[in-house]
Order: sequence, then C-alpha cells, then structure tokens
Amino acid sequence: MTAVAPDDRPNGVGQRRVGQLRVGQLRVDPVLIATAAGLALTLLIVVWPGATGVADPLAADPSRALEPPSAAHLLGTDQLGRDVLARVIHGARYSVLIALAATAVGIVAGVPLGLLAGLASSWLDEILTRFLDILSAFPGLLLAMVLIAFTGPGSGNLVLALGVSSVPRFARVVRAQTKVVRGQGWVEHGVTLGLPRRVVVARHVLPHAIAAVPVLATVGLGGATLGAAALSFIGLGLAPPSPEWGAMLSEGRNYLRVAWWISVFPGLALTSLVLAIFTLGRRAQRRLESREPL
Amino acid sequence: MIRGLAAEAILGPVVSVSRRLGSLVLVLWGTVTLTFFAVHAAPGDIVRLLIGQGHDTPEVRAVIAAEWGLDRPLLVQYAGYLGRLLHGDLGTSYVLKRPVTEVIGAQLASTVELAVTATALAALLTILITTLTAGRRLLTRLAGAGELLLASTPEFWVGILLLFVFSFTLPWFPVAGAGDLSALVLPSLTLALGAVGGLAPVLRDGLERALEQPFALTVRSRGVSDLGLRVRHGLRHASIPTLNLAGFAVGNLLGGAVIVEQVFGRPGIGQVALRAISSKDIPTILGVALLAAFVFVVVSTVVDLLSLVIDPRLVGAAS
Amino acid sequence: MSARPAAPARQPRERPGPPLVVEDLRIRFSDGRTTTEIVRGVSLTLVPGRCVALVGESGSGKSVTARAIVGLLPRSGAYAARRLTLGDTDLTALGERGWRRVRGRRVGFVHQDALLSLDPLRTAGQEIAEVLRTHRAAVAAAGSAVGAGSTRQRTLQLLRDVGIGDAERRIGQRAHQLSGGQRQRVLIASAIAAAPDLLIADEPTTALDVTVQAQVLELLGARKRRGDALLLISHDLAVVGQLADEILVMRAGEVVERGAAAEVLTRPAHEYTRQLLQAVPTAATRGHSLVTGAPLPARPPGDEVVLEAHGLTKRFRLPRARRAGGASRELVALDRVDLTLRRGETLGVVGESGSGKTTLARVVLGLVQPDDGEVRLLGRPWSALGERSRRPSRQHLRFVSQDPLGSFDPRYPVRKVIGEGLDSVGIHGTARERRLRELLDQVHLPASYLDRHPRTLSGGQRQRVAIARALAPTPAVVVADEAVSALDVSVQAQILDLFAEIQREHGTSLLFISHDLGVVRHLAHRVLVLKDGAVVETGPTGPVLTRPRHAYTQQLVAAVPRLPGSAELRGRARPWDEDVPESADMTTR
Repeated sequence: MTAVAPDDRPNGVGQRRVGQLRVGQLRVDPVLIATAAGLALTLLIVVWPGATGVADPLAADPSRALEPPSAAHLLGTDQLGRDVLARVIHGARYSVLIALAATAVGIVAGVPLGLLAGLASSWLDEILTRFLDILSAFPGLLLAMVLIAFTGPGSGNLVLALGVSSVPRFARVVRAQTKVVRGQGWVEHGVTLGLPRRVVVARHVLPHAIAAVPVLATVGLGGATLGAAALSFIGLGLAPPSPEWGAMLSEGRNYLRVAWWISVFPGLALTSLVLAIFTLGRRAQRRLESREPL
Repeated sequence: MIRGLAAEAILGPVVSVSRRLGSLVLVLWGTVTLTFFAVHAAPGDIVRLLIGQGHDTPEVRAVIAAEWGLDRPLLVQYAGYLGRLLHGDLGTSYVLKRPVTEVIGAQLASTVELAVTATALAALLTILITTLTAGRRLLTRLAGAGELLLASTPEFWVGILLLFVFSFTLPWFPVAGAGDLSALVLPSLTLALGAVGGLAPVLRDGLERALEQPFALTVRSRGVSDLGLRVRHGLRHASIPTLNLAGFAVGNLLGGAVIVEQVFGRPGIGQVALRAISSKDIPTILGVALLAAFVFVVVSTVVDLLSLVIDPRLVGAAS
Repeated sequence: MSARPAAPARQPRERPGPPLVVEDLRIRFSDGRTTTEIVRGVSLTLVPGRCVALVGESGSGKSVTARAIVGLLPRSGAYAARRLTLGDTDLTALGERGWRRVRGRRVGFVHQDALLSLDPLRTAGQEIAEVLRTHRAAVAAAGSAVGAGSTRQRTLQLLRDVGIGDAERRIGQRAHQLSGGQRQRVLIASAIAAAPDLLIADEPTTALDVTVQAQVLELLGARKRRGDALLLISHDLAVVGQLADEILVMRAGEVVERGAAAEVLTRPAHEYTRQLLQAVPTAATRGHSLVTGAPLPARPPGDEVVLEAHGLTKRFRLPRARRAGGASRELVALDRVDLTLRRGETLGVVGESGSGKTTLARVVLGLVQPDDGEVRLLGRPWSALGERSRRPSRQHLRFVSQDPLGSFDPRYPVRKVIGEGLDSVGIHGTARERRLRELLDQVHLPASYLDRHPRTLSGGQRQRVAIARALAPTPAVVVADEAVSALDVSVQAQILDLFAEIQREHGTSLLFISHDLGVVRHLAHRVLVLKDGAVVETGPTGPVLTRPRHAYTQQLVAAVPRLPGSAELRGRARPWDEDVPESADMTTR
C-alpha cells in the first residue's frame, strides 16, 4: 500500500473562500484607494502644513472678517478675519496627533490588561474585570472631562484623558478573544503534543488573541479624534486661538446665521477624516474575519 | 435533569440578580473611591475657591477650611463622605452653596426626558432600518454607508447641522431652550442619530447571522413570509449582542447630553457637570460621577435581565 | 425520558394526495463570475404512501434537490426543470406568495439536526403553532385532517401524535431542554401540523443516537403507512433501506443509479453504488479493506499492556442554578471504569451521547484529572503525575479528534502542523525534513502537501494530516475520539483502512471511541460498552456485539439498521459472510 490517497473531494467551502481572497487581493477597490489617498494627504499636511502654501492660521485681519468663500479666501474668513482654509489645514495636526497618542495610550495599557485577565486564574480575572467595570462605569467623555477638570486643559492631558477612557474597550475585547482562543481545539492539542505551557500560550494563544488589535486600534483612532474634538468644543480641550476643529466649530456656531462657512468646513474636515479612518477599519475587519473564522 | 432545568428557569434569574446587586454596590463604591481620591489629589486650591470674592487671609482660610471639613486628614474626609452618602447626602456644592442632591435633582427631569426620548427614537430607527435592509445587498450597502457617516460625525456637529437646517433655514423648531415637545425633537434626534450609527450595523449583522441559521430555513419551509421570519425569529436572536452594546450607549448618553445640552442651550445634568468641572466644584462633580455610575450599573443590570428573558438558554450559563 | 413508540396512524387519509413529478431538474449556482451546474437531470415521481430516497455523499446535490422542490434554494442558486408539479400545481410557475401556500401546507419539510433547525429561542408549542397560524384558513377548510379545537389543543394533539409523552410540559420547553429524540419529534410535528401530503426529510436521523434513530424512523414509517408521500434524503444506506421503496443514488449532481430499494441494495448495477455498499463497515468486513474488499494480513496483538486504567471516576459539578429543584448536584461522567489496552490492539469504546466516552478520552489523555482511580501508561504512573512530569512521556500517547481542522492552528501550514508533533522529540535539520516526508508517505499524502494549508484540504486529507501528526514520535498508543464520524462513508473507509494499516505496520495500540457500532465491529479487537459513565459490558468484539449479555447492549445492537444481505456482493467482491465466526485474531483476548 504505497499508493497515494485518492483525493477525496476537497471541501467546497474552504476552496471557495480561498478563491475569493485571491480575487479580492487582485481586484482594484476604488473606495479603499480613495480612503488611502485621503489619509496619505492628511498625514502630509500633519507633518508639513506649510507645503500647501496657505496663509498663517493665526493672522487676524479684522477688516476682512466674516468674508464668504472667494478666490482670495477659498473657504472664507472667520470673525477675526483669519483664513478658514489655513485654519482647517493646520487643525489636522491637532486632531491626528492627539488621536494617535491617545490610542497608543489605550493600547499600551489595555492590551496587556486584557491578555492578563484572559490568561489569569479566575480570581485575578475577577479583580481585573471589576476594575474595568468601574472604569467603564463613567461614560467615556465624562471620564475625560473629570480628568481634564483637575489636570487642566492642554494636549498632554487631553491625550491622557482620552487614552485612559479607551482602556476598558481594548482590554475587554482582548480578554474575550483570549478566552475564546484558549478553548480552541488546537490549544488542547498543543498540550497533548507535550508542549510546555508557555510555548502553547506564545505560539497558539497570543497571536490569535491580538489579531484584532489593529482593527480595534483603527476604530479607537476614529473615536479618539471625535472625543478630542468634543472636548475642545466644550472648552476642555485646546484653548481657542489654536485652530482645533472642535474649537473652531464652537466659535463658529455663534455666527451660523451670518457665516455658515466658519463651522461647516471644519465640521466637514472632521467628518471626512473620521469616515476615512472608520472605512479603513471596516475593511481591515472584513479581511480579518474572512481569513480567520474563529 | 430536565426537572432541574425547569426549576432553573425560575431560580436562575434570582441568583443572577443577587450577584448583580453585589457587583452594583461594588462598582458604585469603586467609582466613588476612585473619583474622590483623583479629585482631591489633583492640584487646585479648594479653599481659595470657597472664599470666592472674600479676603484671602490665613484667618479666613482656617475658618473656611474648618467649616467645610477640609482641615481634616483626607481619609477622614473620605470616611465622612461615604457615611453621608449612605444617608443619601451628596454634600454641599462649593460654588452654589446648596446641597448637591438639590442641584442635580432640579435638572434631572430635563436630562431624563432627553435620554428617554433619544433611546426610544434610536431603538425605533435601528430596528426599522435593519429589518428592512438586512440580507439585501444593495440596501445594506446604502444603509451601511449612511450609518458609517453617522458614526463618523460628532454629536455637536450633527446638532449644529440640524439647527442650521431646521431652525434657521426652515423655522420648524426652536433654537434653544426646553419646555414644550418641539424643543425636544432636535436634541433627542441628535443623540439618537449617533447611537443609530453604532447600533444598526451590529443589529443588522446579528439579523443576517440569524437568517443564515438552519432554523431560518425551517421557518421558511413552513410557508412563513420573509418579514415574518425577520420579525418573529430574527430580531430576537439579533437583539442579544445589540442589547449589550445598547447598554453602553445608554450609559454614554450622559456624556452625549453634556454636548447636546450645550449645543441646544438646554438645562440639564450636562450643564451642571460642565459648570461644576470648570469651577472645580468637587462635591457636584462627585455627585454627577456617582449618578453616571449608577445609571451605568442599573442599565447593565436591566440589559442582563432582558437578555435572560430573550434567551433563556443563558440562565444556566450565567454562573 | 424515553419517548413512547410512535402512535399508530390515527386514520387513513380520506383522499389520496397528489403525486410529485420532477422531470429533468437542473440546479445552477453562480458566484457572479462563474456558474456551476451542481445538479443535472434529476427526475423522480413520488405518489402517496410511497417513499423515494435520495442517497449520496456530501456534495452529491441531494439536499439542494430537496430544497429546490420547495423553492428555497440559496440566493445564488437557480433551477430549471422540464416539469415540476405537485398534483395540478405547476411549481415552476409559482411566485413567492404561491410558494408560501405550498410550503408547510402541501409539503412538510423536516430538516437535519433539530437542535439547530428549531428556533432555539422559541418553545415547542410556539414552533408548531406557527405552522397552524400561518395556514389557518387552509387548515380550517381541511377540517378533520388536523382536528378541531384551539391552537393549543391542536398543538398538544400533534405532540402526542408524534409520540411525545407528557405533551403538557413539553409544549412549553425549548429545543435545548428536550432530548435529541424529542427535538426531532417536535420538528416532525411542526412539519405535519398543516397536514401536508408530501413530507421531505433531509437527514432526519443524523446526529441522533442509534436507539433514538430507530424510533424516528418508525415514526416516519407510520406517516408513510398513513398515506403520506415521503422523500427521504440521507447519506446512510442502511437508514434508507428501512423506509425507501425506491432509491436514487446521486453522485456529483447526477443520479447514477435508480431502482427498487431491495434491488439497489442487494444487486447494485453501478460501480459507485457497489463501492458505497462495500465501504460500510460491519462485522463482516473485519480483516478486509473497505476500499478494495481484499483481505488484509492479520497481526495479532501482543501481550504487553501499554495502557491501563483502574476505577476511573470523574464527577462534574453542575452549575449552581441547575442544582435547584432537588436534582442531583453532580453529574457522574465516569463511574469506576477499568480498561486495559495491549500492544497492537484496538479497544473500541461505544456508547450513546452522554455516556462518558469523551470524558474517558480526556482523562486518559491527561487533560482532565480523575477524581478517583488511576491511568498507567507503559506500566508507569500517568494520571497521578503532574503535567510537568508527564510531558516527557507524552510522545507515547497521541490524540486524533473528530474535528481535525479545529485541532490545527489556523496560521500553520501542514509542515508546521505535523512538525509540532516532532518538537518534543527533538528532531531537527535534515532529519526532521526526512521524517516529515516519511510521515506524509505513511498517511498516503504527497510530499508537496507539506506546504499546503489545511484549510485547502478535503475532510479526509485533513484527518490524514492529523494522523500523521499523531504518529510523528511513533507513539505506543493513539486515542481516536470519533475520528471518522464526520466523514463520508467512502472517505471513512479510507481512513479506517489507514488505521488498520498503521496498526499492522507499527504495532500501535488504538483506543478507538465511536458511537458507530459498525465501525467498532470492523476495527476493534475488544469492545467496552459505556452507559452513564459506567462499563456495562466488555470483552472481545465479536461475542459482545453479536450475543450481548447486558440488556443495554442488546438494545443498542438491535437498534442498528442493517443492510439487506447482498448475495451478489458476497459472491464476488466480498467473499465473506456475516455468519462466519470472527476472524482468527479474535481468539486472543
């Protein structure tokens, strides 16, 4: 009996899924391209806002206040005569950098916490879970507000506040995922193969437990962008002269009747940025799910 | 064993509720403790704040500090606060010099009104949109894009847009204030739309999963219509994961209320919180934090119980 | 808990139902780019009181054919037929509204696996009442067929009709609170609630214990005798043999053979049918290849005991809530189980669901600590050791589970999956690569498969990879828990042949756990019958399973559906007979 086994019918479902994935990789996805291009552009103006050649976002000219969009001021001017386009472009920096830093804080604290709770014995898991319960008993925004109230406004505190309030979300998802993976057949098989526990955890649990972190991070990034803008809007983020989008909206809404452009353009910028981030996150999530049906 | 299962259907929730009550108290205590020490550890001269317009002399400081109990060690203050809390006393506002329960109580109704309306509106919109679009490729794509847009648009910006369109351009609704029903429409819609953006994709995903289950084929082979399958069978299955998320969303309404009340100039807890935060009014901040935690715990308890009613299989699995 | 035998047919139907005629049915699936025809030219006629069976392995198109008849193909599917009629109704011309009057009312559909096919959140009563309400007008017009009274009374009557005792209580319970047989009965009750003329049953007994399977088949038989037309879909030839008047054997979307049931099962005309019949493991196939039918050289087991267990007891505490109401606080999963396994021997463990088979496997594998008793491996302590001290000996004891894909890390290609089996043994470099190829060769997979991903393999190939991983350190004992249960019969035949070959060539001992008595009869030297965690009977396979002494074993053996004796097969490809005493290796016990 040296014959090779007859190829009993390959599993249709598995086959089809692989085929689709290959097709998906080759196919040109216009939404994804637009999103990536938009985000690349945003990154460029974050790193080097001067590249766009716009005016100084803080240069006031009261004589030209509240001018509607024109050739000189593409997006009009605000109540102090500052160029709205310049302010919108320079504002990207605040939103993006604060959101990135806050998400980093959330991941750095939340992911290890979730892994620990997911892998730990039941009593430690219980303690950590209760701690997360307490942390998430505050609505995210309120927690950030309270923290900022006592540390004072400013970008550093904003990052810390938003980061801390995102910790429970990261930790919870990672913990739940870790528990699911621990129960999988391949983990048990690792034990029967005589692999030491640390090897089983490192090889067969961790990679799957953290597989969703990039997706989570993307969604968290969008959330932090919104949160930072919201805090600035209610005056707990960055102080008014700085061209932060939330702060611009807050100022602009007083002139809504006479100069809609002051609030509409920063609002559009904010929504577009977050939309691009969320779109990217959703695509990444679909890919993750299609590759790994857990 | 089957007999045991029948009993558990009755006793299960009881066990679960008592466990829940335990964790309710724990979370409330944890929240108070955490906030209390965080707030007191933060920099800021409370006595200076209390003196207000008066003369800031060492003598006055001593009197004021003694009067508000700020001269005692922090742990004693903490114990005192906890003790008063058990009697329903949240302390006295440093700024308004009135009991915090009174300050919050006066504004509670307005926020509750807003939150309840927003929740009902969000639930209605979510169920309607998902039931009609789930499993239909083109509609799902369309609705999905709309939901993504809603989720990407911050509440204050939605509020401003709604104001711009429906109050300034089309004078259908008042610009600010509270009172009659028409003043409630735009603020609650603002809050609801944000929630729909988060909830609808989850409910639709659950509904689509349910419609792919083998039982869906059974139901259809009984001659039940597609809508009947969705409403009678699908929604129930889809609602468990959505309820859990909705619990968080309702808990978050208080945070959203801060924004919305600010945009629409509505009185309410959000305004109280904002004023307290900007004036470092510690007792009021602690009070609002406690209220938020209380709402969160109550809502998640209700969600858990509702889940048990919807899916009795969870009863045995709870412990 | 065991349900009463099916109620006898209450009254013969007053008028004969309409015949179902299917001519040249074709079903296409399209994924937007390519269109595949997965069913080609199926024709059948089904008249009242008769049963036609569609038999085939997975992918044969039998289930899709059944779904097409009620117009419920998946969205990507479409069908065409020269004729598809039920009585005077042209089914091909129906719109969605018209279909809804056919489904449930004129055609009842019993889907497979009632645990999933009943809405798990709704009670038995709600599930049945849904049919009554949906077809309220039609049911009322039909009058006596369903019986008068309120919906609740009708539901109760239906539950009693399908043989559910204590209908008053069951009506308020959900699928997870019912036993497997009760669930299937409820599903059947909901299918017949509106008194359809035609009943379609898609794998109605798959995943059921054999004693329950017998009851469900009896219930379906009663419906047939009552005058219902029955379209039965199954992969199991023996099951089909119990009910069918006519059998259509399908392969890859085509009917390869059709004929009267007895004819097809005893004198198959098509080679594929012959192979299918030959692949069914029974006592008669012992010592023979299930693929070729040729006799295999025997190698009697040795005397050395490689694995032994004494007084194994394992209790599980039930969740707190379940303890209420005076039910027992603990579930005894294993109750003083003894076993011995010799070198080169196969010990079959049989039992129905909940008998403790899987717990036994897990205790033996050292994944669960026994509460009492001891497992010894190669004469040394095993279960008494801590995991750390056990680890070096794990190379002597390996595991093959029912779900190979779930036992592979999804990130790993075949090379790493099998390679991990070598990690603890410490083979590296070129020796490792050589060993990997050797292992693939042992399970008859080409070496090129090392770089394939298990997801892209078929079920049988995946199980071969799992076996190769288990064999990596040449273990003394392999524990196989339902290792062939999820496979099609022809693939199962290959894997069973492979197990036999491995045992012959390496002297591996097998602890072979299965719910399938036929498989155990085919493969095992000795058998251990478990019921409620306790061993009720043990001994050489032949005597235990042909002349069982314990009442439970007798019941188990009697419930297994049997293929009719196949004279032609016996005369040619299979020169053995059921009555021949067990082969020689059985005498060493």
